[in-house]
Amino acid sequence: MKYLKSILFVSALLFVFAGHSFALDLTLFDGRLHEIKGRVQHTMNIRTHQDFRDISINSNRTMFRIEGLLDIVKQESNTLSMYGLFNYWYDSAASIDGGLKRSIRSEGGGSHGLEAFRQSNEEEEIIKELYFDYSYESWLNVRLGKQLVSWGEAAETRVADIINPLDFSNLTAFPDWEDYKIGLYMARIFISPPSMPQDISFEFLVIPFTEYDRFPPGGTGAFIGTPYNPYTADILHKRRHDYPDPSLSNTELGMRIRGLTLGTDWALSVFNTRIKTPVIRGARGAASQALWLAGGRNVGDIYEYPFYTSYAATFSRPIDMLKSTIRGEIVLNANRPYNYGGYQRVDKDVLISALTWDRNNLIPFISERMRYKAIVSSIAWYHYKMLGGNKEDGQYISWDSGTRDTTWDKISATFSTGFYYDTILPAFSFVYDLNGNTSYLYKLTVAPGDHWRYEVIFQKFNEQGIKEYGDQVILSLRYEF
Amino acid sequence: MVRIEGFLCRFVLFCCAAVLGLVTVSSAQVAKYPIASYEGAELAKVREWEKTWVGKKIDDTNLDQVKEFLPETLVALMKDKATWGDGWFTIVPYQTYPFTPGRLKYTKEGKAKLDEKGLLVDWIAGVPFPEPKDGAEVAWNFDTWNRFDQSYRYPKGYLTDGRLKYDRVVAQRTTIQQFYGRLDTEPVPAFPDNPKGILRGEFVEFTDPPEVKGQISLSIRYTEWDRPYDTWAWIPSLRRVRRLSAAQRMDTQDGTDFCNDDNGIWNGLLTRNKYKLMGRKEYLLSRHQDMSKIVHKEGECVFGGFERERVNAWVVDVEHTEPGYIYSHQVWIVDPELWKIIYADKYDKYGKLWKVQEHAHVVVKGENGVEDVDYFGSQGIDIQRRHSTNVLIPSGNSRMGYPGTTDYYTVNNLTKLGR
Repeated sequence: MKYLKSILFVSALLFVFAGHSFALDLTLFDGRLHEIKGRVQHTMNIRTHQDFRDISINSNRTMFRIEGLLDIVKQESNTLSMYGLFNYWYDSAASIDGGLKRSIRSEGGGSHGLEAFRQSNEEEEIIKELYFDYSYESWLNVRLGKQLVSWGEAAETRVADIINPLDFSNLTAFPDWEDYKIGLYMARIFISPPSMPQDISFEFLVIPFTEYDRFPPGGTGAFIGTPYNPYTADILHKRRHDYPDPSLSNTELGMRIRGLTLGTDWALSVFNTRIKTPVIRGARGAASQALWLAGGRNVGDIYEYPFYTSYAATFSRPIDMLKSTIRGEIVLNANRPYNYGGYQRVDKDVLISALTWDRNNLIPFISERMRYKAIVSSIAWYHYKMLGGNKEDGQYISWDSGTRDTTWDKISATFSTGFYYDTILPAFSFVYDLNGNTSYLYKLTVAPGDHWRYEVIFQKFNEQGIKEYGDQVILSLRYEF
Repeated sequence: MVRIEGFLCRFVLFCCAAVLGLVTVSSAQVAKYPIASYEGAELAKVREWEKTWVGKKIDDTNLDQVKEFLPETLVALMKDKATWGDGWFTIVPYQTYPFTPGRLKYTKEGKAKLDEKGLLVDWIAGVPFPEPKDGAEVAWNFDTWNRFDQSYRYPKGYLTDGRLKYDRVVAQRTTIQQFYGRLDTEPVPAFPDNPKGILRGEFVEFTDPPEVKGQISLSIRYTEWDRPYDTWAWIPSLRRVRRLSAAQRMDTQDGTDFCNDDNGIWNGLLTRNKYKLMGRKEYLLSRHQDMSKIVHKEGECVFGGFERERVNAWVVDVEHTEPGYIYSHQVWIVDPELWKIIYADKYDKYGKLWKVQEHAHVVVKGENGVEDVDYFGSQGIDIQRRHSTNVLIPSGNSRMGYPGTTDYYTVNNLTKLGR
């Protein structure tokens, strides 16, 4: 019934907006509510391989999203406005795929897991951003409220961009970062003193209400099929339980300085934060976990989210001779806690660097036939190094690839273009992991008008260990206004 | 006595020569400006012609009677109504443009010249070469054209498929500020605090189609005439500012027919081309347009309802010297009073006609109390693919000549504006 209601709601919206030749231009609050933008999207993730769960459809989701800006005060020197971005989704995959339903029931905490899978039902999920934005003249800007923040330059992987935790429940059809970052209540202050040399400006973050990474319930395979262990539901529940309450001592703080020197945009930042996915609280935590998994109750804290400090330097500059832009960042995560491969927590400095090369490529003969629509490429190299670690005594990290080592390298690349006035938009991207994995995807988007977009995606990904690949097809239908 | 007479004679001759010399020097210091398109007998001749033609609607049925005053490419488009749509227009009387006080002052006082590299030097503001001697000087007159010192425009446009007969929409808010070469809005002729030597800054915020809504770009052009533009873009989905390479300006933008160099008919560095003055020719061009009269029909590549007046325009052939550039050459038709390209034919690298661009101009009073001119309509047609990108600025969607600030055109502000 709920799904039926959602469909009716979406249909009503389409009926209202479909007649507009230009993007939504409603006059609300005497025109003070503006910049309204939104979309209705339906995605279906179809597994084209099988594992022990016998799931055919990973996700069948309808999503509604809307954003807007409300002017509250608009004077010559002072402006105050409020911005909001809201997101709601309903996923019916468990209703139409028996294998998925059984998996979630058994691994994701029964009906509670099914309910968590079916829809966004928490404030964290529905309100992505909601903040007051105050500006005084041109040098002061203060934003108070729930916000998404993006630092750094790399796009494919987060290196310096670690402010907001992620909600992997939204990892259904290659969303934008804003779709699966969790908004945080914070004060964000920009100070841009006039006539500063090299356009230097300052940004400060004060985040008293911190959050942690969210995961879809066990049994879902995280939309790509990676199985959890049988205790997933309990572990996720315990992780939430063990996250510290908001307090002054739990406040995260960040600062960034930006400037433009000799044609190069640069930034230096420091962010004192908790890790977003917990580590086990040493030997005591390990003992508690063993007791708890054996059926014990009230065994105390198992997980912890220790603080560490991330220092970052980033830059970006065009290289006119190559008709390209180079973006780079280097990050030192100082004393970041890990306990991969064992219960013993390891606090290590990890150095991460990323270099990205962006280019709009015009290829002789081919581009002429594409009316000089460029093939846009973005190629990035990532290098991770745990300082002072060694494999022999277990001082290593289990990287995303699953490899346990002190270094890790990967290369990502994205190529996209548009045919027939951006009506047909093919894209290809891959990640080559020098430690052993390659994943890739093809995407074809058809955008025949101003509002509708149809997408087909084929994705091949690493599922259960190195070179053990799985794949899926994603169908997406989107209406934007 | 003879010696005294001889001395007097030489003295008088000397005085005459001195006076003549002073007059010559003085006239060299003050440029002849303004120069109207028609004056005296020429104007009388035009007025006589207008008695027959003003108010008449011209379409494919009577086009041949005035085709001598139209670019050949426009005649071809209008004649083939089935392919391109109904590009009818009416003829209105020739009027001079307002010459703003600032433009008059700085043009008359101007001492601009081109250096050995062909770059403009000693230019403060106004028209650098009111009496151009060659194509390069005409091009510099266009390149230094100043749009009310500060302007906000919100055009809405149509991407029209002439084969399948349907439109898509495009709209963007554009804010442009002149930092140097300012004419009528304080501070003139330049912002005093401009250590980076910015010529002009430009913000473009996309509002349509929804896919690109919220994208904002910032472009900075410098008074070092051969320095590439600096460009940044706010990408809403990334919540980030991205630096863009300004060297790559010839790839097509989104679903439109044009690249960055095509904005405003030409928006690239002048140093990339060679210019040949083809002389002057009379054309019927849209200089005083009533925007409410422009008609767009879905699926038609050309606008109807232009109001065209006779003007004795400059014609410049522009040869692109950059290897592999998308155009081989362009023909610019330049207004002799505004010094702006009004109409252009653009040829592909094989010398075949590819695109046609034309602007419709409106005289408006800015918030600085000064009347000046800007284009409020633009049609751009891809002849080879039967497709067009046409935009119009609806009434109320613009502000001109309002006070500006240098702090606005910064990356910090771009970050602030982004959501």
